[in-house]
Amino acid sequence: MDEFEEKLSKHRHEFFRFILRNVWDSGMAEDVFSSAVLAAYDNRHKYTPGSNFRAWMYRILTNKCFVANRDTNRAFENLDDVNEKYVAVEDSVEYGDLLRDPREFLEHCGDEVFKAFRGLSTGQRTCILLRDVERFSYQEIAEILEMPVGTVMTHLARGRKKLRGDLLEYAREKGLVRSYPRLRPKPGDNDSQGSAMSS
Amino acid sequence: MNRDMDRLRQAYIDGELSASETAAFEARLTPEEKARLASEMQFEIALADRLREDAGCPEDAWRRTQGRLSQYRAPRRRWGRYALGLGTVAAAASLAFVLASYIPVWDEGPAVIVLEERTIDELAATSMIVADHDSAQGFLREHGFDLELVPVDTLGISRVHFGVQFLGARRATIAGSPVIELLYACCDYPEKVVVAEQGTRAAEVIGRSASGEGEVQATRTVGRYVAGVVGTHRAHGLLDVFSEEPVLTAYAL
Repeated sequence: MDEFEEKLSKHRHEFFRFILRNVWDSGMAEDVFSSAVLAAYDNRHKYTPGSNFRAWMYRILTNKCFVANRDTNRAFENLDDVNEKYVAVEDSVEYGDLLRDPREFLEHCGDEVFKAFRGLSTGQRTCILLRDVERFSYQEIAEILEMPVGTVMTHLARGRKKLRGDLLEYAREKGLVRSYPRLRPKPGDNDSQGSAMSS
Repeated sequence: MNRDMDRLRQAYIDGELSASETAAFEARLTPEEKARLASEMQFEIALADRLREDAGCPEDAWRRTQGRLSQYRAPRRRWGRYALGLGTVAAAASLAFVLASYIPVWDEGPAVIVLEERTIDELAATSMIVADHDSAQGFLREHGFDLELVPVDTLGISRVHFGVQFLGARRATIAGSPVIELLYACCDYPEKVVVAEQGTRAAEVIGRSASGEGEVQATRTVGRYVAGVVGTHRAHGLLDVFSEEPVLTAYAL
């Protein structure tokens, strides 16, 4: 095994995981993974030794996932689209249940978590995977995806909002949440100081 | 203003603020707001843990990928029907030897269908025609196969897989019956679609190979013919290359 293959072997689980959570088909994931490995091999002369191999590789993985997903029309969304349904999720009374114990909430949602994640656009899924799972910074994500940092933040914000909104809706239907007191004071409540989070 | 605060809050949750920015932001928060943001951070951590579950690279998938990489690294020659040379002769000789080892009578063709060529180069070199749609159509008619093909780039598999290409066609014999083999590349794997007339011994062999004795992944009855897609990569969608409505499609287990 040469150095290139050693690097791939070391990171193969995270690379495969990224693809699987992006294309959501284990058979396709293997094909995309193999294709990405071969593409990386073809382009290994473009990698600068000592630079961020993971980020370099994720650029290839992201392109391959994008091609694989284009058939489902889940490419990077038009940022002008506004999904008003999910704008006010943090204002819902059940949001308190979600935040009271997030891990327990997600466990109770079971596989609905994956279903809701699959419902995001490729751009939203990719940004959340790179940020939350692979722990890249906004700047690194922007370089991998060749887009401005602001756009990365928008994909993250919208993806997280949609995901939480979908899970809350599921939890409501299943009776997993009850009405909890709102964490944010209602307008007109006795709050003379105001807060950093109010509009 | 609201959007700026949302962005600041998101950057805080994601640890993107500098130490001084974090201190300045936290100084403006009430204890309730701090607790809420801490919970939002916990939600992202818990979500990440769920997304990591059971998603690592299976060992057999890694071995197959390493195999493809090794194959890819092996010296390749230019493919195309004009790239004749010692390698082509060796490939043809190997094919003849493999076929001969399967059959009691030397010109009957194999009793079990596999794809002997393991690279796209090798497979493309065996084509008897130029790799284009019109030539394929003419080749089928010339050999008495009354079938219409659709261009491969219009197939659904071309949108889902990559590198789907028509490599050519060849005539072969299976169990003494003439067949046409349409040759393809799909996701860097060689594939072929074998077509035989129904009621022939070749059609029986195609059907038998789909039940696990060979590399036939799926078969389809198209008009008065039977077609099977053959190879180690799952490419059932290549059977859509026939414009006729399928009567029945069966998949190997």
